[in-house]
Amino acid sequence: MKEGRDSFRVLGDVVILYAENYINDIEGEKLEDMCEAFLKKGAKKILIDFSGTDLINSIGVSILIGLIEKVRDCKAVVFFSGLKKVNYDIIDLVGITRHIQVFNSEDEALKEFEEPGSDLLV
Amino acid sequence: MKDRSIFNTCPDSEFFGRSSLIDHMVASASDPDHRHPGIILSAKRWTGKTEVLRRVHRELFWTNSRVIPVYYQFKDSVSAEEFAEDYIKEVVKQYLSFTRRDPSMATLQATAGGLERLLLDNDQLDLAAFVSRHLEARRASDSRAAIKNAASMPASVAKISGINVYLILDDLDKSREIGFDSKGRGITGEFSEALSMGPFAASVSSTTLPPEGLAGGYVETMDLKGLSPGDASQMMAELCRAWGVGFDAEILGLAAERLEGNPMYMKNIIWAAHRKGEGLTGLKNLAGLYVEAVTTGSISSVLRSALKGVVDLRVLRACVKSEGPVTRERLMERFRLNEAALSATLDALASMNLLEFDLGTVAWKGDRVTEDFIEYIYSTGVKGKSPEEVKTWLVRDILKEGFVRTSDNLRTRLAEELAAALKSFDGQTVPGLLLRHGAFARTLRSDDKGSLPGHPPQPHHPPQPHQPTQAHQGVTLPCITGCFDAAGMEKNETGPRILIAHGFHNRRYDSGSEVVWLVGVKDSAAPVNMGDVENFIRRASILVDGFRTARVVKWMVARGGFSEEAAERLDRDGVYSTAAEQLSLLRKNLAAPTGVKKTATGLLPDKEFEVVLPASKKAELVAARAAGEISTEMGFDEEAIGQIKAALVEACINAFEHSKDRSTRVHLRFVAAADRLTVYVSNAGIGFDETLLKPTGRDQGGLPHKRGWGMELMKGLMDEVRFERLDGGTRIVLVKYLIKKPEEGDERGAR
Repeated sequence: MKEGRDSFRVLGDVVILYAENYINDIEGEKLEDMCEAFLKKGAKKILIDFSGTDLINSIGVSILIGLIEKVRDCKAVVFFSGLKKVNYDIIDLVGITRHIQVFNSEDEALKEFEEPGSDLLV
Repeated sequence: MKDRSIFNTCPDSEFFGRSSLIDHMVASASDPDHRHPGIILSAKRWTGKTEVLRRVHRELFWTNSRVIPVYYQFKDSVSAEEFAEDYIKEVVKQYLSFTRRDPSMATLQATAGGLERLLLDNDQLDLAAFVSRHLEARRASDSRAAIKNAASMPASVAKISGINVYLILDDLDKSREIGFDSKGRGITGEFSEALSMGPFAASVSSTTLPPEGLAGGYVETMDLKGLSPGDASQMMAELCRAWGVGFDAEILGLAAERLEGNPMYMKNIIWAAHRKGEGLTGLKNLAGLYVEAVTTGSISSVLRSALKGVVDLRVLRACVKSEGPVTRERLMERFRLNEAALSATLDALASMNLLEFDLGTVAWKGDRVTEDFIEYIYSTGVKGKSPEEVKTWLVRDILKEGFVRTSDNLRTRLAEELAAALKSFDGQTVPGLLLRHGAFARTLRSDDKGSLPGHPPQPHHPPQPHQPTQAHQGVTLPCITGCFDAAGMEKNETGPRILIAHGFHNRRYDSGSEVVWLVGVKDSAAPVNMGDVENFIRRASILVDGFRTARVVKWMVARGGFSEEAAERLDRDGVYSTAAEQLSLLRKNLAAPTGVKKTATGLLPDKEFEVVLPASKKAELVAARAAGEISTEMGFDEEAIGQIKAALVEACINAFEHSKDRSTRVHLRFVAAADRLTVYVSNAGIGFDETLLKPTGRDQGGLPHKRGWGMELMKGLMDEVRFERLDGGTRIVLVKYLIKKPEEGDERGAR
């Protein structure tokens, strides 16, 4: 996560989570916990933005796979955005790109989501 | 921060390779169920057993509350009463030190009377009674009572405090020297009983004569050897850095091998280099420093002192020179010695762990350094040779050993040289003679003026009737994108190694232009014969099946050249053939691959960087940072730099995960060559099981497996990934080539 930036923001019915600079076991789990918390509150559209992420390691990748499973279990949808080339290569190598949509930027991903609602969080 | 030192130990930065042993001993000591047996560390002198025991004590002192650690080092030439007093004082001081969490108490200088008063002042009446009994026994000159009182003290301390005492007895075999009665009985028997009361650790210098009473007991005996070559080289490198001594990694490796990983020897050599202002940068430096240290320098002084009990130099050297065990009778007969005289020498050597007795025979088990020292004193003292003559012989021996090792390395480099040449092909055109050995050899023979291969003979030279003009025509080489060893694709095959290079012709990166070069490498002085040719052609034809869609080119490269018959057969079968001298010319003909910088004198030389990672949070990012700096400097593009960093992070995580010991360090060596970056990642691990590094876990809902992606990522991000077993650890080797990338651009379809 870039310095000074919040770790998430809610835009209508879309929850945008901002990933940290290095996604390892600890940061991966933080991301997963945050995602899980929003899913419990009923979020159905989640965007994870990796524009502040320099590196995702294999443990981080494993956690992202688990996160995608959880999103699916809740009948929700998750997009990734802002991946640096190497991080895209990494999630592509493990096959994640075949299961979720990846966008160059947060704006592109948001356009793809449906019209935003405003009643996600009370 | 509180000072953690209790007894003297060397700086942590100079202590290597024993962490797992220390962890095991600490775990054994602090096991609440006391399931572990006592531990006896058996080791040659100066291998660091005292250091290990003191660190076990320190660890137990600061990190456990289940046992009271008591460290005691047996001393030479003391009477039973002196020993008893010293021992009681140590137990009391260390008990107080542990219970008060005050390390300074452990090294308090106090008389027995002073300690008695201290205990009385602090209402430690039970303990004060022990000191009082000792003082009474001393006044009555009753050694036996003094020893019994001392030996029973740890068990009583445990009873009084409710906490077990963990005895750490250094140089336990010296206890044999301490007699307490007119029959010369030693104190070890008393101690055996005391040790049977609870867990303990002890060190001895000899495995052949275990302390009496312990041999048949519940004891785990561990042989403490010198450091592994990897740890030893690392330790020497650290010491060189600390003392400002220049070094070459290969020379340190050679020194570590010669010194058998003995920390005392290694420190002495580096200290000698520091004192003389020399570096360990070449074989000659190493040989000079080693011979001086072993013959007249610091190592020699230590060995002289240790061997002073050896009365017969001839017997000593006979044991060293004997290729196998010798009988005592043979030694007595050869040197006309009686049993007593022979025993005096043999017992002295056995007590130093230099000899091993077995069924009436004697075998040398000392180290190489001691052998060299004995050779020096024997040759100068008995044979009457001059010191300079013997030193010269020793220097030559080291130089010879070094050259043999260097040549071995050179031999292993042929395949590397070849791989480098393949990576430099880059679609260039080279003279055909460099790939056709028969024609190349005929050209050399016919051209006594030495026209260079690649430069057709001058017009005044008549063309040779058997020389096919096609051989001189240029050959356009492909752009190679990857190169690996065929060993993984072959089963139960013998013969020359085969490398597989994959690439594209005419700089067209499409499936129609794909090409595979199968390259047989014979890395020996003997020329390739018909048997080698048939072996290669047969194996290549099997391997070809794996590349049905690609064009396949076969090539044999040999250090020792080709027999005429073999070269002709290869020509007939359309197989390229290149000897070492052709390969050298080929490499000179090839321009460096795109992105490689040149200097006025040619390609930039290899640069090496070393980084040692401690086992700490996110240590792998330090490695990634270093890789980023080095690869940027080398000219890699941003994408490749990202890939190198990500792969290295995986390698480091694996190195830490698979290490024997969580506190181990991971050692990184970056070799920046003209055409590639190679990163060696090594640990002191139990070895990597590649099956564990493959994706595992459930595969639910079509999603990828969850775990074990490290290996896949490394392979996907780097050009080459391989695992190498090392003595005492494992090494992952990551290679990234500086190759011009396809111009089609990024093919991220989904984005």
